[in-house]
Amino acid sequence: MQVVDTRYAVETPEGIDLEYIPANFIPRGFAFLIDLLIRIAFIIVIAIAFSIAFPSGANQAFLLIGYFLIDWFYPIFFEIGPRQGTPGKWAMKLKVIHVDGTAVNFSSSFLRNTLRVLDGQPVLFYAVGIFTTLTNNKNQRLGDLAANTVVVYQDPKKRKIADNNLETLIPPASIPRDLLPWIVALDERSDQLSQSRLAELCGLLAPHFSGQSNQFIASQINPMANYIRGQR
Amino acid sequence: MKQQSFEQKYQTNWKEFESAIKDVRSVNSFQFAEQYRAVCQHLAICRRRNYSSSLIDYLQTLAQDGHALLYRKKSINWMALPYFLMIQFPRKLRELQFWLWISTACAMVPALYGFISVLLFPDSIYYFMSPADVSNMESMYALENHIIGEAREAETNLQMFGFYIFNNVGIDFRAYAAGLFFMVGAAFFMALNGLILGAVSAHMINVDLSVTFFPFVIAHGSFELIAMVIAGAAGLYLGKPLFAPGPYTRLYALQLHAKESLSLIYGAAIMTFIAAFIEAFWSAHDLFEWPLKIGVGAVMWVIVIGYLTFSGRGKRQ
Repeated sequence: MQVVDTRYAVETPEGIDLEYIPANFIPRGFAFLIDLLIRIAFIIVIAIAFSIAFPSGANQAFLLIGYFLIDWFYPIFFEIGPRQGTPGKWAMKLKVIHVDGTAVNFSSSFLRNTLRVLDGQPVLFYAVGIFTTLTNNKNQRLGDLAANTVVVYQDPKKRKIADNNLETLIPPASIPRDLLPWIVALDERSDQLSQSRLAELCGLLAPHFSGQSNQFIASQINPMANYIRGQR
Repeated sequence: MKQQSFEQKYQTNWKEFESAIKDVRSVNSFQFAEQYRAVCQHLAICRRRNYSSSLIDYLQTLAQDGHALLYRKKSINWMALPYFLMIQFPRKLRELQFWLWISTACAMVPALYGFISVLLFPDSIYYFMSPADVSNMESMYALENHIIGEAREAETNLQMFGFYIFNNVGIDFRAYAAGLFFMVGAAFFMALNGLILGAVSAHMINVDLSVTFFPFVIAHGSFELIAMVIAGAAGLYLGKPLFAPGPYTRLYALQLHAKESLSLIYGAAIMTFIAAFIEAFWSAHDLFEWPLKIGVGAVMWVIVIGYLTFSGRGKRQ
């Protein structure tokens, strides 16, 4: 079965595949806007702070240096930090990594952010950058291509911890064995589905539960999944 | 083994690994590598046995974080700075000097053109700058503003320092990035700046302000102008793969060239920083007569050119 998916896999030296999901220009665009607001806030704050601290002309100097640093080094500082991304990216649940999965270092970050000048044409509307991401299967803009980086979604951390005293139900014997993992998968995403959608999907199992309603089958999904996972 | 028992058996190991990731410094690196390999193996087992996707995703997250930590490189290596300055940067510059000369030509030819045309036709300065800008420049260098023996206020110096950092390093970075635009961008930046510099110099001679202008610019000019053409050269070298990728794909050639050109742009940024320092705190002083300033400026040029030509030659250290 052909799968159309934006995921790409990197084979590690340990022999496993790590999968990453690159992000397209829409969440990245939002992240950029959030960063822009944060940057403006920074500049206002340091402008006020410096004009209080140095009431005479010297505050201009620090303001200009601060403006320079924020202009060119704000993203670099955050990308090499522990969060692997600016606050805007963090808010949109993105991070920046090399294509091979390692974290970006200063050189790569410097490169991709300096080339932002080119990607941002015209005038920060990023038409060049957006166009480049569309031509690339990892959604890389020019800066990403040159620095061999990619912006991916962060990994979700939360999961259900297996409890010990759970209800189980042995699945009917007529269910084909290769359907069993899908029952487990359905159980794990059942909280993201609406009731009617869940009932609709359970309708696929109706042949194995002669005569029962879809809602009843939906209530049996969790016990069956527990059994399949090994709860006894 | 069923998924549940598998999870229960290795739950503690995974929790340990998770906390090791959070607090890397507290963990022995061999232990960390062992735990990471174990997690990778568990991930492979889960995939093979088709365990539920939430477990696979969880282990995948652990493995990704472990991979990122295990294989990361030190971000900024401050210890390497002297090596970079004395050896790596000049050597790289000499290696790529072809582009340096091209960049210089892109700047010098328009500069000569601007210089000669303004010398011969004094009014043509207004082709390059507006009358307001011209009179601004003239007042900056006007004789009455530069009484020998008067130093500029320290505060203004600092202010100008900030401005020069903000302005000039920004120009270098932009020239570099513009190089990717089919090399034309960098060439354009060089040409534009060169043209204006040539025109302004000629104009200063025309209005007899050369006595203030040239001593002012000569000292920091060495660092700044050479840094500017280096940034242009880095930009040209960055854009070259678009036309001549050699035996590589364009993308791979771009990545290679980008890594190499980084040395140049770092060096250019540092030189511009130094230039800003000199420009702000030395050039504007009128404490000294102009022959001294010219002399100091000439020495600066000799230093910069000598550094770039000779530093890093000789046996490997």
